[in-house]
Amino acid sequence: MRKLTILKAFIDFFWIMAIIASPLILILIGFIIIIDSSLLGKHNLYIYGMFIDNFTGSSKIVIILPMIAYLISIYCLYLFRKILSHLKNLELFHDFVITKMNTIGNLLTLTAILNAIPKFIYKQVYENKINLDFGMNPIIVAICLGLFFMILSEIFKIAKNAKEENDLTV
Amino acid sequence: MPIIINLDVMLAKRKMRSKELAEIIDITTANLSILKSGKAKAVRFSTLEAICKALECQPADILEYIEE
Repeated sequence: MRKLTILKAFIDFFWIMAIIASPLILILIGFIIIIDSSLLGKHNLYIYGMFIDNFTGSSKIVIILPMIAYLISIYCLYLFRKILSHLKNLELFHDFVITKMNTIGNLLTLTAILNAIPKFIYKQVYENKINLDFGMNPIIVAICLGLFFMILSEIFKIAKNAKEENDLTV
Repeated sequence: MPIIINLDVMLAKRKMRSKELAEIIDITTANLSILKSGKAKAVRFSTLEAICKALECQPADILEYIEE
């Protein structure tokens, strides 16, 4: 269980850092919604490796969606912390662990999609091209991680049934 | 479940208490209670053998199949 303690310490650290950054993200989202192109003037905005030169609807989506994905990731981190607390208390097959692992899986897949949409829009609108990338990009990794959590949830569900049967065998 | 456990009937016939039986067959009273209440999902042959030996009966005296 020492490894679990180390992992929990890491997750707690990331959680604290994320909590500090999240109000800033919320303020930024509000700011981007109300801002218009005149504020930028002739300047370009460089964000997530993309140059934004105006604040139209599509460019606002390009900026806001990854921020929403970030907030969802923070929620995933929160759930993961809770799961680790349960595991630390040796409540391995608790219903909370099973349901929330599945939730994390779904949310991580959603964040991957939310991150992929702006990139796709940016390539379409600003670069006029469709890019096919078969490498290990963060979106693929996030989808794989999401699916991994879903599978883990299923495994825990099967394990819970097995444990229940074992406990009810006289 | 269509399998009925008639352990309490057999215990009454033998005038034996659950606690005594649990001690003889070396299982906890909680487990015996699970068995008696029909919540058990499986019974080990060794447990069944010990119960039959203690109560001097056949497995059929304890287990009964009733169609739902």
